[in-house]
Amino acid sequence: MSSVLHARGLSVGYLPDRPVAADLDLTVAAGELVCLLGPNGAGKSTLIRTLCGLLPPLAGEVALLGEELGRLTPWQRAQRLSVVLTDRVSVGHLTVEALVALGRQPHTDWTGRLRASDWERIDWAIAAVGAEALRQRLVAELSDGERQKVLVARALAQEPALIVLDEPTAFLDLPHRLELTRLLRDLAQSGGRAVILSTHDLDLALRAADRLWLLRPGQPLQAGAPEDLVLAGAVAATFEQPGLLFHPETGAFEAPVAGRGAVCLDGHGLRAVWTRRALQRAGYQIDDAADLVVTVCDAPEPWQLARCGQTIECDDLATLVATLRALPPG
Amino acid sequence: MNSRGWPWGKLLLLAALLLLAFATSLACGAVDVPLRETWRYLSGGGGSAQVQVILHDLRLPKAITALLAGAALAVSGLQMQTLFRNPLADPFILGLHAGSSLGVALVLLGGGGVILGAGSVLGNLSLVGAATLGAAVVLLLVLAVARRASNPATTLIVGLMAGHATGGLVTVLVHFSRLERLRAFMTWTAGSFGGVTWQQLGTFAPAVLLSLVAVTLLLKPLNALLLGEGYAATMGLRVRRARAGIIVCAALLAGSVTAYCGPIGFLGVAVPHFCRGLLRTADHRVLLPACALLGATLALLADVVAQLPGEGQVLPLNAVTSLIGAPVVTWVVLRGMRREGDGA
Repeated sequence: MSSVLHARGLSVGYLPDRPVAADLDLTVAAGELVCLLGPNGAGKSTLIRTLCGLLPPLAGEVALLGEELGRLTPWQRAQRLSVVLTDRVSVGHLTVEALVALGRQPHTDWTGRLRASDWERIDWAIAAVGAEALRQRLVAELSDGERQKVLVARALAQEPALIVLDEPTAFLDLPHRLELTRLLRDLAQSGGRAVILSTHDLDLALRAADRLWLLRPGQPLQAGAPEDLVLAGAVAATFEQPGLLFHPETGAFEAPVAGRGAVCLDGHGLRAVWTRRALQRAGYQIDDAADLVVTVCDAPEPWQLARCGQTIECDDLATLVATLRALPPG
Repeated sequence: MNSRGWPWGKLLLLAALLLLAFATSLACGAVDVPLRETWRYLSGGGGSAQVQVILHDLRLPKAITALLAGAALAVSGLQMQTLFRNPLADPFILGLHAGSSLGVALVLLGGGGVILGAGSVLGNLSLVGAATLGAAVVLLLVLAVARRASNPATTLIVGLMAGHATGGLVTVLVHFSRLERLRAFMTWTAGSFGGVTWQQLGTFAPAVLLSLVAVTLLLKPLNALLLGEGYAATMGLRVRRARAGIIVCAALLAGSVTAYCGPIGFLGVAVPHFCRGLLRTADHRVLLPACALLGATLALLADVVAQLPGEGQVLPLNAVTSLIGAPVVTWVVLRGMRREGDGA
């Protein structure tokens, strides 16, 4: 695979004597989806702005398709790289079609006149993100999810080799986050493009990224396949905080609840999985040797809670948790 | 950036309205001149000596001035609203009018007029010169900041502060002025299309027309700037260069109007909103001709309204434009609240 973006010895930041992140070596290949992850203040946005050419690097260099970013004219850069920023786009009387058409600016003459070939790319970009139905809608009236999709279409219409997105999923609900991530992964894999996005969403990054960049304040950036980084403990270390525990099995962070004791869980299937979660949420550890026994029967039978020969039946997990909390300790 | 169709119909309608307003402006005034007479004069057919004098010496230069000034202010406002992404931006947001009024106040109130010969033709010219000079000083200051600033808001603040500072100086001059001089200054601030001679039009018209032509070179950058400077930069725009070009053009347009007609408010802020709503587009390639046409039309109509009291009495032009403009701006703000959008 050929390298789309290559950075060597890169330092980013706003003040020369105070780099936000230093000495970064980065490579992005065609067809790759890269997720940049890190806690707040690690310099994600600063790095993203530097890679887009919006901020000059403090040291080192960034090469885009083999040519140094600083040497490209703005037009040349825009023909290779397009961006979805966190800037709020709120323009009166701007239709989706007109917004996407703006992506053709690096390819049109000084008047901005759109030729038939430009319209083909605009149509294609709108179809690629599945926004045909939004075409004549006003951008100001779109939902957050629709707006992000349309902004991706604008970035696509620019026909870049690399699309960079700053926190594209920040204001989206879970289904829209998944939809957008899947769209970006498809766009990377099908078109031989590269996609870099920054995100807070660990779960999504672990599932979708071909490569993770983990950025922590004052530490060298770690890059690799998400699974390798989990196994190496790098993901846990990046977000390390008191009271926060990373579960390598699930790939998720949890804030453990103060212990209430141990429960023996008897049962299997989906009901048992969610009973386990309910018990953990209530502060119980699962231990087969515990005196307190929760039996999960097949639906529609109720849950049974047994201690010292006494049995209580609960119709749902809410009742079960409430009953457990009401039990005297010991 | 454009839709596949071009709104020829609506632009032609605006052009027709402009023609109508132009004709009305020639026909209305202290003496009614029938449209037929007006037409005969315009087509070179002569007419009575009185009509010739009224039209040639008074109404035609005034109508042409109003037409140019309205177009200039509207286009200038359009550029400012896009550059600053602020629906309430107008041509004077850069503090140019304050610079102009300081120049004029220095001439009329500060004694400069005595040296230059107040009241004479030379005095009138010196007013234009002083207003131009004042606006130019503020423009250079704003431009120096705009070329370095990373953010257009910085330019805005410098413009506003320059406006306040020069406004303060004007207040001091006003405070210590004699009444008859004050009246001359107040007349200037009320705004008028009437004082511009054919000779002055020889400078004013090319200044406005050339600036309007220059704006056509900025239409693509203006469209890119709709999404903000960050996006514009990633779409290949040299942002600082474009920003400087837009400020110079907008300032030349608004500055020449202020120099020749006084600080005329509200046309610049209201007309771009009318045009966006009428044409349902944000594309500057459509909005530029639309704003020029509608701005010219409204300026002519405002001047006609200002003549309404009759018998030589004329309403202050700024009062008329404000009475039209204030409801429009209010409407824009209220509509913006309803939509929860804050864009232009």
